[in-house]
Amino acid sequence: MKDIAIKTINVALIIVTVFLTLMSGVLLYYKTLGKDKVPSAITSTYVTTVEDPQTGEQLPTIEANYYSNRNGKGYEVVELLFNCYSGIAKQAIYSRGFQLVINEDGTKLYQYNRYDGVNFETGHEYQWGDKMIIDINGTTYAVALDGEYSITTKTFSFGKAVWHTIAGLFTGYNYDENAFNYDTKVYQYTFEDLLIKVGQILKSSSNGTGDSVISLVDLGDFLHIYEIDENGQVSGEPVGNRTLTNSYFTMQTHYDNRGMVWAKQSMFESVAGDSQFNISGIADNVDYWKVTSEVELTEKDFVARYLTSENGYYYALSTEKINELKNFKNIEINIDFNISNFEDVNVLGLDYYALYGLKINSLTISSSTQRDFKLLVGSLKDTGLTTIDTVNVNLININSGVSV
Amino acid sequence: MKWYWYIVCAVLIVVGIFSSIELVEMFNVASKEYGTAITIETKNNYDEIAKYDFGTIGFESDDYINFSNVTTFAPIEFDGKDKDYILLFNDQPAVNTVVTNGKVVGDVNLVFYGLEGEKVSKAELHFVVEYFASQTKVTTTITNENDSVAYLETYMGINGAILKVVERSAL
Repeated sequence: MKDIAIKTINVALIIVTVFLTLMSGVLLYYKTLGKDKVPSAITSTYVTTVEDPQTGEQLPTIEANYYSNRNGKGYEVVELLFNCYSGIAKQAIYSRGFQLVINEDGTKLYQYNRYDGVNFETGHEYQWGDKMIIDINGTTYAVALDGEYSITTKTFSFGKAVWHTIAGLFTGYNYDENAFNYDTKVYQYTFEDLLIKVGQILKSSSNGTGDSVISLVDLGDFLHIYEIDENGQVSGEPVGNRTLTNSYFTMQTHYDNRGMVWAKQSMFESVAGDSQFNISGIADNVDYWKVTSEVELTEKDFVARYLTSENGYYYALSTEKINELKNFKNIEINIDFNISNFEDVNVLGLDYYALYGLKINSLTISSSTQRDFKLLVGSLKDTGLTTIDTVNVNLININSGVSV
Repeated sequence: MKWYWYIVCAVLIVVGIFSSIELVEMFNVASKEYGTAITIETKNNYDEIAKYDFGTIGFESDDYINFSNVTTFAPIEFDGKDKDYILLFNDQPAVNTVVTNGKVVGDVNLVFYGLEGEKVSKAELHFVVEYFASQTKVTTTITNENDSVAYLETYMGINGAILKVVERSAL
């Protein structure tokens, strides 16, 4: 009885072993001779925007900035910003930035963070494979720089060359292929590699210089997307593993063919870790107490009224113009009324209520020849003027509203 | 069976199991898509006609004396023949706005004062808005005198930079 049981187990074991060995053989076939019979698939991920949970604003997932320094007057700088989340609960946008600075001292990578509009050099440098949390159509994913590439080198092999000479008598000679040892090494892409590629993408873009958006930039060689399950676990392999993976990103870009010369040109407001960087010759950190908008008016802005009794013209701003200017707060109106710019016109002065109620900062009345100029009743009333500048003009004030 | 045949079988079974799993995965690959291929608008594209929000104007200069910026926006239908327009920068007027058929030109002068009320700088901004059929092109130029570009940068950092072309009658 026991022998029968052992024999049965042995037979079953042999059948299973043969079957699974056949499976191994089938796999070997498809990995070697039957490669072309293996089906393939394409996985495409579209990464466009993330929503700032605090403001509701849609932000581009990737922003890029490249100053190519074609004019040789600054630094060549490539910048890349990932607008990602601070954690899987997506409480806040906590952006991660990478800046490649290329100057006479060489090439160096700097890493930044941005939160709530403040940029600062990171305290946690991201490495190959580190995950950043993003959003695709409302679902949380992670993105990582984890691409690899391989380089094959060939070195001459004397032994192979001799053997191939003998074998070549029967099979033909091909010393380009058969007399060498081949060594393939796999390398990991770095953030420097990614930034150089992004810089090249911006440089080659038909959008040219300035701000633009480049849609569907395939960074699938460098970046891969990972699913995150309901427990917050990030999958061990990227989506579309075993398939051709297209990682499309929509990038908001700025390309400039000048060199970067001050920190304000950087999306991190800092160059090589220095927020005060400025080799532009432009003053930095200037500040002011108050700003106004200066409005310059001349005699051309005035309308004329002919007075037959005096055979001349009085001038005033039109009611429409006065009402228009009254709409603006914080403006500073300066009037330069040059009588000599009127040709063959007898200019008598400012008309009744010519500037009534309009706050005037300064009024200059000038002429190339000495002459009188009348200020009719109310012409300067409620303008706030205390002085009037004159050049070759004798003012005749007829209760204008201002003591001059 | 001899004991070593059991070891051989075990090895072959383990290899076979992994091979089978890989075969299943190999023949079950399927193309998938995650997300949607949409195009995002640049921050400069706005639906509101004749309002151009730059955020901040990114000036370019080769000599760091004369600065300029050219930004393009979506085209709009604009006819300057029949209506009078005024150009506003952050709601400050360019009173000398000149309007031709498809073009609006104006200057906005910002005067900066220091703590004692003294004038410390003046930024003279020259705007040209051109309404082409394919795009609206806004050119902004400024000359850097008395650190005017630096003051303007500070100003735009606080107030932003919004250019509007509005009908005078709508003021």
